[in-house]
Amino acid sequence: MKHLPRTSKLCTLLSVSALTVLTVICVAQNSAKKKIGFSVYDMQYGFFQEMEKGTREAAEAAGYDYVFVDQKSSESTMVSSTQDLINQGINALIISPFKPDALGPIVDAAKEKKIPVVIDDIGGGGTDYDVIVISDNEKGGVIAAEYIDSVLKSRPNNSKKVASITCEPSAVYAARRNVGFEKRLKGLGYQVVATLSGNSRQEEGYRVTKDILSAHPDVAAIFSCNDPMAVGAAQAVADSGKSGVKDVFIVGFNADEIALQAIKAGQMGATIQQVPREMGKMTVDLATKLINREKLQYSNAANREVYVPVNLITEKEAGALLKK
Amino acid sequence: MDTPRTQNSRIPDAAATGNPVNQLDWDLLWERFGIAVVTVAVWVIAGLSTPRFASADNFVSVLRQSAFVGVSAVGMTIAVIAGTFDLSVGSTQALCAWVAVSVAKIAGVLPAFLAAVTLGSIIGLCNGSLVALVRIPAFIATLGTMFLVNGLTYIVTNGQTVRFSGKPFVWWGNAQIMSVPVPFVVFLACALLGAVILHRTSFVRSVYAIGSNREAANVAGVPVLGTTIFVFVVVGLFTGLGATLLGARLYSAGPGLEPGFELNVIATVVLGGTRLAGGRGSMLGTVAAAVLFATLANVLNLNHVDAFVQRVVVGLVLLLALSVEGVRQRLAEYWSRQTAAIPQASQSVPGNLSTSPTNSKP
Repeated sequence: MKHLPRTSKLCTLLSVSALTVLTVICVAQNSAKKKIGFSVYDMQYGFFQEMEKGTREAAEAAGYDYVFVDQKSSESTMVSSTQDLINQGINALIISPFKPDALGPIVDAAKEKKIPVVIDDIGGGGTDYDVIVISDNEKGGVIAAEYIDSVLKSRPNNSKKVASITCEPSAVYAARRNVGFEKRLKGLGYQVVATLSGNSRQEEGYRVTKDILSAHPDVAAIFSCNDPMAVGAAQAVADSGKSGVKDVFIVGFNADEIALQAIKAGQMGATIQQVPREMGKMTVDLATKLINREKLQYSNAANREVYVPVNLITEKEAGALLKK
Repeated sequence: MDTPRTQNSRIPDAAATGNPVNQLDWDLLWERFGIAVVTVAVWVIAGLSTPRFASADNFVSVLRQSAFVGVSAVGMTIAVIAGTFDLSVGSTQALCAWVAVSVAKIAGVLPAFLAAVTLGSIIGLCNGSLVALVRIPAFIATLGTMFLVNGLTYIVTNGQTVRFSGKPFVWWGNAQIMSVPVPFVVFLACALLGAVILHRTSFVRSVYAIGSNREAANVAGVPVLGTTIFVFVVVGLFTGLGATLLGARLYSAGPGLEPGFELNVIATVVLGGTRLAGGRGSMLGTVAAAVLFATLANVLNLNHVDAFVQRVVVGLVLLLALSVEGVRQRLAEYWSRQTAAIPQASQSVPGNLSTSPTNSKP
């Protein structure tokens, strides 16, 4: 058995050195630059890729060291990887949390080290964060209402009846879209005949729209809290032998690719675009102010919210966005 | 026969081939301590190469993180040694964590632990019964419970996360005792308990026997049914305990808590030197492997390695670690051919090779 020690030693050495190579892919970085850490929801999604891009570009432009971790759509990873970020001596933490409910340990750990916390979208989980950046959801609803009004005005034969499809009740920020929409439309003299939840899902958007159409066959427009439900609504309208543009004007929210394609194909009217890149940029601006102990200008001071504008996307813009 | 020795079929082999007992068995040493050595080596290298690694805060993070997979892996180690495994631990963890946080909110810490551990054990009992009594292969049975429990979790929770940040509860996930994170202390206690179980009781002899050769164990009068069921209960119990710690760590729990958790647990056990074929394994290896995985994730994060590259690295490490045994055997075969002329050597090598147990998964 004398040869065995050699072989197993060799194996041990082999594996140790291989692990070494893996761990030494790094350069010791030692700089006096301030550091911003960004913990992203999941880089699988285009929305968060854009957000990360905006955050990174703004951080680098402002002369920060930029470090980021990916939560990979896991609560556990969200907390552990963000903890790794906090342990690296960052000066400000920006986080788009996969589960706002699990933000507690992160915000507590950051506060212990006096690191300001900027939340990017999703939600604050009732924690003691410094500021949260979200799309101007209510304004988005208002824009949708005004666009629907401008379209329906040119169709005097249409009724003044509209319907509103909401996201799941727990999505508090998204709910503001429908609030803004309904308030503005009523102001413009329309009647909101139905407000139903499609739980953010395409198939439920379809089902809910079927119900709306049978109860109110003369409904002139439908606004949906997100794009998957809007596309579901467009399918329901098409199944009833109507057009999602000419008969029942459908407007969604998010500017997801499926919606852009549906708009381009003439199956639905428009959508409201969130601009994650701008949101990322805004978080860095706010982080800078927090690091410098400047006072923040909130859009909603009670909840420490700052809003980022949203855009209307019609057939023309949809085509351009799809080409990108 | 001394119980620790039953842990490894090599020592009787070595005795049979006439080798002196006091001779150092490098294979055995590698199997028992290899991964611990690698973990320490990685720590040293990481400490030298990554300035942020060797900070007290960071060690606390790494150790704490190793515990959540680790506690469940303690149970899984026993299962894998018994030649079986449990794919449902991920779903079980999510449901138990949700129950733990909900109960903690209403009734306090102790009831939370009790509820989660009991629930985990019940799910384990179901798994064990399906495997031992209904004779569904463990892969299918636990795959079934995985879906079932996962679906149940969504129904019970209505897809919502429950949140509770009461100090006595979150202490279990976040606090430190003399700079050692509480979850890690619990993990070590569990591993110790697991090791004691594995070394001291006749239960374990049954576990190893079943893992090595189920048929033979049956014929020899080992209580295969009872032991198999019990093994699954142990897995569920530890998973429930680990889930409570994770809920405390996150101040919250919801469905889809940690995607791929079951595979992380099994990977940890296997990386720790426990053979998926059953019959062999150790608790020390599991502890070291859990710490190694947590270290890797941490070092990769500290070095800003892309999340997708991180997955590749973890996969590579697992493959690398598991190829060591195969490579070693190939080398041994090669050496035995080289030295075939010498009778003593040729006698000892088949002894080595014969130790790969016949795979007999239920």
